[in-house]
Amino acid sequence: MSWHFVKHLPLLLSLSTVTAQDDATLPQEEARHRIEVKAASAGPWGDLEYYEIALQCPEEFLSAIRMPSQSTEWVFEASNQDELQDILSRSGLTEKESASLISSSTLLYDSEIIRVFPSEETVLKMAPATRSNLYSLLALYEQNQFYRRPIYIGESNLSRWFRGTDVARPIIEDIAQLAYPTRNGRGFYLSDIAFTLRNTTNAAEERDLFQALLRRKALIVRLRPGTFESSPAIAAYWSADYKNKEVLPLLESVVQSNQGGAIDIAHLLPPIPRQYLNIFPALSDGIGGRFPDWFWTCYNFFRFTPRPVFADSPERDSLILREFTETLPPYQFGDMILLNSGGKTIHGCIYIAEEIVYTKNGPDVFSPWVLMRIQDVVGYHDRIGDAALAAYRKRPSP
Amino acid sequence: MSEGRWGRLEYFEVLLEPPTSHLWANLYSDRSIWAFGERTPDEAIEHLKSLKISPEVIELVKTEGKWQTHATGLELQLSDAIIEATRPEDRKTLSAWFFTHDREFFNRLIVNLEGRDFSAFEGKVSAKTLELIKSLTFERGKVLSIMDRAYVIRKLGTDEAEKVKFLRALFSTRSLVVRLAIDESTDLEPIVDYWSRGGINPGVKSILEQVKLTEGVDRIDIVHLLPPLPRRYLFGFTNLLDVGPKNTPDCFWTSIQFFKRNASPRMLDPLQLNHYINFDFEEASGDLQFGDIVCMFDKTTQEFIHSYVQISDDIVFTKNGASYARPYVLGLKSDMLSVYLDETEYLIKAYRRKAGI
Repeated sequence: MSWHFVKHLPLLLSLSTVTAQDDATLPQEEARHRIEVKAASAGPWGDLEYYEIALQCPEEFLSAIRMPSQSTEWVFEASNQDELQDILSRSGLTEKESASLISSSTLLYDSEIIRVFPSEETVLKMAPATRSNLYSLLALYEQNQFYRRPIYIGESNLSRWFRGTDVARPIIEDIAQLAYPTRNGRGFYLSDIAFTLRNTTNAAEERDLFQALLRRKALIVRLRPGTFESSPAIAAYWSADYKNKEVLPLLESVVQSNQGGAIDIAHLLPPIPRQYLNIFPALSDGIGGRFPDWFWTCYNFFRFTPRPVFADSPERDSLILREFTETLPPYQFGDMILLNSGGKTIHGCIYIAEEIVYTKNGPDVFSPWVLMRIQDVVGYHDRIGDAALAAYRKRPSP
Repeated sequence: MSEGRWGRLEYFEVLLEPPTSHLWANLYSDRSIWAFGERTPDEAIEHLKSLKISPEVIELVKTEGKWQTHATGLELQLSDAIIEATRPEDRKTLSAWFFTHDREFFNRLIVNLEGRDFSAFEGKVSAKTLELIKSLTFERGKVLSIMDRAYVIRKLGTDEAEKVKFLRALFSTRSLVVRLAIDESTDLEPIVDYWSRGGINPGVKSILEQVKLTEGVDRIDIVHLLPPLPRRYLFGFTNLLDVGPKNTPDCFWTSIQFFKRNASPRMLDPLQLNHYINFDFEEASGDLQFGDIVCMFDKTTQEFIHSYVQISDDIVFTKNGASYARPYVLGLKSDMLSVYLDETEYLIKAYRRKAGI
């Protein structure tokens, strides 16, 4: 397996232009954008295949969203225009770009911040590299929520990404202009969520747009027929040194039934990750005052009863030291993979097999528990472009 | 295959054997026992006569039976000859009497074979062991039972591996891996409506829509359509962390919490059956729906016997009893009923969870 990510060419615009010029009727278009089942490399896990689905968040979550204005607003922690100019220059924008940006925008001053309202043309026509630099800067400020947590688009074909939604073509064309490549070149971010509202004509369209943007991609993964010819090795892999021994009766039986059918790997996950797979958090998950985050998800992967520990819990590092050992590839089912960037751990997920991990990408209610490719998880979280992976293996219970 | 409001379900069977960790020590006991409660040995023999147990058995009991009195009452330890002389009709009579007078002993003694056949043993135990098992089974109504587990263990002598195979097969449970078939012509709306249960089970729609749009995928495992709790437990065996000091998860524990996010320890308390049923549920009318609880009561005594959850007309989600050796399964209703349709006449009631609870 390789952890070197193929650099995607930032061709979102040209690909979407092709889409925009296409006048195909809906059924044909749907057929053209159908997702295919992909085969993963065979390994000790068996022979896997997977396909991507998009999970739609519960309707009631949408009504909890404070709908932003379609006027783009950037907040900078600066007290005057010189400071703002300085900040923009340090973010990698040229002097000309900074000056142009400031001159074409409306600026509102508060005691400690400057609120910048750029023109539509500025937002829409910004060069991808400028956008990437500027938006990375905006992500530093808590006030710019859409820049801190952009939508991650894991592929270059937007029409396919929006398949099955009612999002209108003009909005998708806007998004094609506004999305910018991630720092590690894997996929794209979209931060101008508010801006895209300009092409909605009523409340229902607004909700449809947010529903579409808040969909989360997930993988359905299956062990393919024929896998069980080498059943002892495969059973050993999925039982993870008996940390996941609960799956053995089912695996044994599937082997013995020998009916050749693929089996969804949801059945091979331990109870807690199986319980939460492909669902969004519910009120009951946050009843203790916190919603589960990545560390809750990783730490409780093999546990039968979840323990309320979180990424910022004081005991986090001591739990890792006590209950896990650092490990190197090849990774095993259930290994905890940490993403380190900028001198800190920014995320963690659980290795399943091949390039597939189990992850919850945020502590918010819009982040479901899903299976994803590790490349996409890194693409989603690696805002600086320096993410390095470290892996930890759960020690067997005494 | 099962086709209806739920769409077209395809499935294959898996036979779940309990792991050895779930086979408790007493299962390996080779002491064959009949329990007689407060009776004296003489009274017990008279009672066997009144039950019309074969005279040969009664004579052997007199000469070879060993009587012991424990805190739980009088026990008769049986010799090989007594067991070998016992006829199927004697076993049927005795089991009916144990069922009526000492339910706990009955539950320890009697094991019903799923599917009323020996397929669980085939290919698992030796031909000799299989013949022995066959010779000991007897019918109770439409149920095939065995009550001489200890005798089989005794006959297996020092062959510990064969004992494990026998016990695992004896307690094996038929289950199904079930998939919903979806192709380009599938009308998703009624199917989404069925599995969503009026919004009680959210998230179904987007998954099914995406599957329909995916090239090369024509079915989705229904594990993705189940609520979180049954998904968590499916194909699993009782975990000690779910067990209380006086109770363990059983069929009702499994059914009543079907739509819940997490299992509640409250469900192990000695509550009246209607503690939740009368308030959070309503009696189901019309066609059964996904997630409806079906309860089986003894028609004569009104005693609760078993419950399961409706998945489709012929597929259920259930745990057959409180035994550690019985997993949570999706199974054919016919397989599940094959261990319940004894002489008991049942009253069936179905309940539907109210929305918003």
